[in-house]
Amino acid sequence: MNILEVEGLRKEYPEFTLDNVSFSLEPGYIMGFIGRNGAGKTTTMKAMLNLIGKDGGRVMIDGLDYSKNEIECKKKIGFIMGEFDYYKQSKLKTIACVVKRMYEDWDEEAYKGYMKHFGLSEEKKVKELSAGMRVKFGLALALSHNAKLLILDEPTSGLDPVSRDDLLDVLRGVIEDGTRSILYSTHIISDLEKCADYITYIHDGRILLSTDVVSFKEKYLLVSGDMDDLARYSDIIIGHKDHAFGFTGLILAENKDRIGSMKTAPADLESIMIYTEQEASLNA
Amino acid sequence: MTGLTIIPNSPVPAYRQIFDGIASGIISGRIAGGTPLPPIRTVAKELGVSVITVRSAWDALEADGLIVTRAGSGCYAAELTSFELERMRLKALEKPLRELISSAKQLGMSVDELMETVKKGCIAQ
Repeated sequence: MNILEVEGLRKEYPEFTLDNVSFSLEPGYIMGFIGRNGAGKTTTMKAMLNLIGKDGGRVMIDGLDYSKNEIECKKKIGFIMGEFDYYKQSKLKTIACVVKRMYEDWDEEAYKGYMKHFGLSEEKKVKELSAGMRVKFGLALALSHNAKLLILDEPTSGLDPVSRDDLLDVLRGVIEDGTRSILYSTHIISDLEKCADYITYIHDGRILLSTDVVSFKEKYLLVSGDMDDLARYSDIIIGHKDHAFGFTGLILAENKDRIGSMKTAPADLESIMIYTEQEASLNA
Repeated sequence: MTGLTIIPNSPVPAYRQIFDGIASGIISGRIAGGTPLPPIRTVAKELGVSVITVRSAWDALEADGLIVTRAGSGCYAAELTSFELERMRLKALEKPLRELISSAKQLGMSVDELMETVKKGCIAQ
């Protein structure tokens, strides 16, 4: 059974609509949620958790309908949204004391274990923690009530490469036993290369693609050719960048027999995102 | 897995690098037939890649008959006959061999000259 199912989620704003957002995640995997700023990542996460009212659709957590079983579902979820925003003067143990009262299934031993594992001292104050340590403290809290699904909104933004790598190690450790899953949004593409099994790509409030990372990359190819090629094959080229010697662009791998003598190369996630966004803004 | 490393940002996809590492281990006999492979999730964690990446490599290895899955107990290096090993070695050499021959042709080398060069190269290594 899927740990998370989002079906036809909808949220309307005057200037923006989240439309028919659907994806699912099985236990034991990490899903990266990508898209430009303002594409609807945070709105999707908030609507999923009922932090903002939704205008349609259904969210299932471990087989339970979220809107009908909100408390049960929240017990199964750990989430960190944006900036870690606790009282900066408080000691970590004071904050943990408040949080643990919210959860029946609070596991003190697990909490102590994570604090130790992350190298965090309960006697420290929030203001004494680095950005990476704050995210880790948030994770320790989120993981200590036996959550099966972690929802993290840009957990790695603002972290240096070393702290980021460290955090990704932690996330891979969380799913290692195959019972828990993580949904996290990011626009740091190298995070996804290191640590995402599935990718859900949102553009302008709609899901463009939600699939495993290997299929995602194999769906596209980079091509390069001269300006004549560009004109000849413009119908199958998805976005392109021109340079002095010709152009580089993206095609769907299924069109690879239709490109004559143009050179191809495997597509990386960053190129897929850049060229796709370029094409989408041309069509807008 | 000993000797298996992933080069990030390589044009060779990570799952292919894993495939190549394990495949060459099995074909060369460094990983003996019947050796259990570590669980996919452990490999993913240790190599710092996603679970799906390792699973794709395992699927490809299984499709090529290099590993076998036993229900409930994981994956093992396939026990291959010397005939099968021979065939796989030749298959692994197919592409580099073709490239070598076509380069030699372009340079106008005769078969004998090429053979002599290969022999010398082998001794030097």
